[in-house]
Amino acid sequence: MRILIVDDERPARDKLRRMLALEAGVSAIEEARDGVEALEKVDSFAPDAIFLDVQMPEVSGLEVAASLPHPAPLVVFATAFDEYALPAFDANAIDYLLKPFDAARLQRAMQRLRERVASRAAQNERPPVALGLPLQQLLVSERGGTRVVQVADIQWLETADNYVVLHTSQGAPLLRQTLTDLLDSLGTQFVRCHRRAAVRLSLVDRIDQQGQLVLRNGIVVPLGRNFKPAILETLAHR
Amino acid sequence: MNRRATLSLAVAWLLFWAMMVATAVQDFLRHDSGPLWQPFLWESSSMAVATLLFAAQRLATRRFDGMLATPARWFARQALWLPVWWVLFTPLAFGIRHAVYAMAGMTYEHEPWGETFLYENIKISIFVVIFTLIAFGMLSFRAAEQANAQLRTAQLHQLTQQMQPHFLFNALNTISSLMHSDVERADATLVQLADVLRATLDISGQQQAPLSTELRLLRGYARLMEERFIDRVQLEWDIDAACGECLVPVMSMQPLLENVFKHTVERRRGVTKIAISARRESDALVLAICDDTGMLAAHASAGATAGTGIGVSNLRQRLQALHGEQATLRLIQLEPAGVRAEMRLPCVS
Repeated sequence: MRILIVDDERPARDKLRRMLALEAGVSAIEEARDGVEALEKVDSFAPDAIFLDVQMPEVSGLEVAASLPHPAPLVVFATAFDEYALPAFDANAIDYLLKPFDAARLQRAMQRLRERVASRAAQNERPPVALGLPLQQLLVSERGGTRVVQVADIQWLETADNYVVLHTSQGAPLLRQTLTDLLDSLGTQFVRCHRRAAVRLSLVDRIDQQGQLVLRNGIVVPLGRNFKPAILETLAHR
Repeated sequence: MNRRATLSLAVAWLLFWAMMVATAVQDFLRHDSGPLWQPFLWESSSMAVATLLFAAQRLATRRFDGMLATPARWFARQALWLPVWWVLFTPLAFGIRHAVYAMAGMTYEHEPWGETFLYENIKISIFVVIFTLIAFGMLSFRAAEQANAQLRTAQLHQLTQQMQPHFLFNALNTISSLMHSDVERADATLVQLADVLRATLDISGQQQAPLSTELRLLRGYARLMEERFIDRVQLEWDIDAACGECLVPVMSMQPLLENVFKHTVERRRGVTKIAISARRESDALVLAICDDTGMLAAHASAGATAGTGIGVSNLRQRLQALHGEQATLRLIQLEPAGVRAEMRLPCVS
């Protein structure tokens, strides 16, 4: 198993690396010091699992988790404490480690990871790790670097091959994820309006004569026939 | 002033004038004849005018309460009011008496105005000095009470900062990591964590401590944080040894250093340089904590939500209570980046 450690504090990385080196089945370990580096390492190192610190500078571990490209590595959060994360972890993360943790606790997390890696080989699934958490930004890998996209800037989402196009006022970066996974991460502020599109609910202005959604800034978004009743319903209750 | 203090001052004031009336009545019975309202009028007219002037003096000098830490300056401000008493007291008090006598169809007789002024002004000067001293005592007591409350707030604030899971558990995790690579350093870091926690639990109530003591605590905290952010922070110490004995408010530098870590080091991916300095400028002690990347706007906006603004405003209040206007705390935005927190206070040991 290839493991990426993401933590902004070196002693914490050292400790985890030392402990992981003693675990069976770990073939390679790589480290990243922050969210941006983490995404780069996910591309270059292709880890099976990530140990992810939550409180990091600029981009939080939760935001890194939500930005992971599809198919994403498995995520184990390692955190000193995070008020938002704990309840959510219960439902969604493979595991979470509370720092400081001992070898026995790490072994339990590793056991879960091994089981998950084995079952995953059979069915290509990705648990929504950041479900309903307060995400403020997403990281998008682009040629020559990593771009930080503010979630608040995203107007609508569109599927394009293996990517999701994040339509913002400053361009349309591509995130390598499925629309379903991304919508799971972003929560209820976005609603699906088409098989291949979703829209920020608060921006929807009206439905025009061609049956398309028109946003407040005039942008037109496709509206699928099957999604129209649900959209009308949500708009009515907005 | 709190209600109890105000009430006791008011009662003392009334009793004082009751004593004056009683003396005047007895004196009158022994030496004079006529209606007994006269001694009452003499003293109550004095009391009315004195109450008025004393209230005016208090209202006008209220804004100098900050000078209580420097009694000479405070008293100088109060002394400016003596001429007001000299000019106003006798004409007002005697004016009332003349008016009341006239209404009763009588004439109020007293010494010639020159002598009256001299005699009354000597009396009233002593009176003013006595009550100004009492006011000074009461205001100082209140200031001390406030300073104690502010110190307790500061300690409580520090305690919540350090009991914050983010700080405490990451510190413990650092030690847990160091134990495997360097037992001596792990031990030292553990002791530093203990020192930091112990200092915030200090219940001695001391308002001030020598700079050397404050710096020992600060170094403990700094080393602990240096271990955590070992590749992201560089600290430089520039401490003038001659300042070691100067007294500083307890736990005054740590909140400032904590702010740098919280708002700058922890939020940045790069290396932050922090310079900590203490030096003397004639009679003043200048303590500064300076970083090379922080933005003050980030402090302010984060402070509003994270409650760190409490640390700085509390420190300001404590400096004010201890030294009045002679102490300052400034946060300065440096160009092109960086924040300098500078504390300037009188160097007394």
